Amino acid sequence: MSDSRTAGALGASASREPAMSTEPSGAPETVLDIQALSKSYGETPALEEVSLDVRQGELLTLLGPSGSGKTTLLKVIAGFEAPTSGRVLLRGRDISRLSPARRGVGMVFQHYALFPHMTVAQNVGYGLKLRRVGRAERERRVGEMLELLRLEGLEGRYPRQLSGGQQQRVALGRALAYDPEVILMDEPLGALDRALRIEMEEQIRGLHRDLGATIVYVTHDQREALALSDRIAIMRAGRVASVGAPEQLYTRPADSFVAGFFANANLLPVVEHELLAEGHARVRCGGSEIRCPTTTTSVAGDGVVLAVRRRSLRRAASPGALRIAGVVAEMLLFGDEQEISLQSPVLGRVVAMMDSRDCAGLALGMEVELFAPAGEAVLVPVA
Amino acid sequence: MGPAGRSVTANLPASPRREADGRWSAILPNRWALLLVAPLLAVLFGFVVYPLVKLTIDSLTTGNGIGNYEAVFQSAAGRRALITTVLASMLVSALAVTLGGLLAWHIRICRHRAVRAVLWLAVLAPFWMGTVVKNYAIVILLSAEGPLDKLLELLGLAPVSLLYTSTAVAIGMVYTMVPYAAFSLYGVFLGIDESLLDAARGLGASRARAITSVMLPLAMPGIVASGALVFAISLGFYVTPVLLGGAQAPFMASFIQDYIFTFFDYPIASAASVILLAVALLTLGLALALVGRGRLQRAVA
Repeated sequence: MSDSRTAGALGASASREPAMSTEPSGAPETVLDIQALSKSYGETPALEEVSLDVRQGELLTLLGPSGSGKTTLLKVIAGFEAPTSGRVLLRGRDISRLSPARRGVGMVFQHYALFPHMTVAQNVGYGLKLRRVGRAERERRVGEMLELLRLEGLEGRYPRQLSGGQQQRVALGRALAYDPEVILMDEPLGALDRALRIEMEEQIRGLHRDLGATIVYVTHDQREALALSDRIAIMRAGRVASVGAPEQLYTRPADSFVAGFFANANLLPVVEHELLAEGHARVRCGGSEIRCPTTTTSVAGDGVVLAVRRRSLRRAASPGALRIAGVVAEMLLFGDEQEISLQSPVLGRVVAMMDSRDCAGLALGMEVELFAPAGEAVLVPVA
Repeated sequence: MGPAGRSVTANLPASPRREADGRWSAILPNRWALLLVAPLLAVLFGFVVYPLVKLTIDSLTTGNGIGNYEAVFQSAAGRRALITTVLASMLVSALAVTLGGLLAWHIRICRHRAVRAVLWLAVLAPFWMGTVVKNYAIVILLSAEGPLDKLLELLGLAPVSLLYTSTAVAIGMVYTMVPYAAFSLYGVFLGIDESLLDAARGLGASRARAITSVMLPLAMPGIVASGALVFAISLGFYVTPVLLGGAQAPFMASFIQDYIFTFFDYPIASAASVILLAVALLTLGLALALVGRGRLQRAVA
């Protein structure tokens, strides 16, 4: 906390609740508490009983395919859409019925939505001006923001005179300038090309770390979610399918949807399984019987699948590994890595992502055996 | 085609439909494009430019020459007509742009198709009716013992006799001009990204503040242009002042008409016409200068 920028941002927030000045003790405080939120457009439900908490200083990502309700949830939090039922609490205060202006959240829009008739400095200072921050103080804060976002010297430019990345940074600065309790970001990097996106990811991560801002981030890009998030809420058809740290969701997916969508795993049919102690199970799958971690509590024979991530598969056998035999149906080279599709008579299509060196000698139509080392396959319930 | 012909097509895209390498192109060479718009230019010249130039020349050469203009300004009727016309047109422009703007903005942000259809109908209906029908409708509404007076009577208020007053003329003109304003402003509003208003509100602006700080500044060039357009059209109103204003509100157009058909004094009539035209052109020029190219470009960028 010795960084002068951080000190400036903290000083700016001193006027608000004491949450930031009291040293965090134990579990971080819940900033945003979403309680059983539902939203339907006529007969179509967009959100169903969504409950979620966002903690002080964390970056929580809402990840889901399009139409899963993540943007609707963000709009309800921001106040652009009214919930059909449920509540949104911001530091314990019910904000569900307040107008967007009175909620004290900052928002970064997908296509930036910068004001074209205002300069960079006016855009960044807009929220401060609305809050009746005096001119001198406003200029100081805007200057701070522009420095933080590496936009010095551009304060007099208009948005159309900026590159995509610069516009994105102005949009960030505009949302951060008045130090809102929560910042909502709606696919903020969606309009940028790949190289710029990776650069901006780093910048957002840096800002989040330096300012300790609480951020709710919406994306459909699993890679982006992994790169940025403290926690990820995976959404599916208007519900939160699973919430957790990226690592946890990746290695111990709660169900087959999370495994397939987030970890890009193969979902293999299970012949039979038996639950053991400490979250493990004995599973018969294909020709092998293995002991593996599980996130299911179901003892029934159906309703479970074995999730095996593409990168878990390799050609070398190891003790306790899951064995998959099949014919090479497709090979795609991605430079250092190669994607191999295997057609297995018992398990169907299995996709593996392997080191190119490991793939030497493989050819289409060849019969091969692949192995998932012990602990890499996870038994999950079918979503 | 011989070798000579091939070399020609290789050098320049002479054919309108084929590039040098044989690819099809939709872009016409300039001289072809000019040929295509030539009929329009001919019509414009024959029916707009020539008569106006002739009118201006006649106003300066026939009768007393420059004295025609002096006569218009020296006659009390002429001065009064000019002032009435300009003031009424200004008032009508302000009202029409305000009402038309509200209408256009609501069509722009309305999400119900049925409501939008009704609003469009309200805008378009006056366009479909003839000038006389439109004005006669207002005559009926405002006449003594008409619906307006009956309504006032019902509310226990004294009847107002609006017909044949300047107010009646203003009402009739606004009614005619609102669609023009609404149409031109709808196009302007369509160019404003709605998410900008959400952004403003998300950053802490009230609904009203979002409109005054974001929507209005962005729409201002269009609003000025729309106002100038309505003003220029309003200057030439003839039927409405005659039908609704009677003798009370003489407009420039009636003044001109009197000099043509009653006094058969064409030089004075042409001078009065040129004055009216000059006021209209001046307004449009002023609007363009006010809005400015740069600001217009910034608004649409």
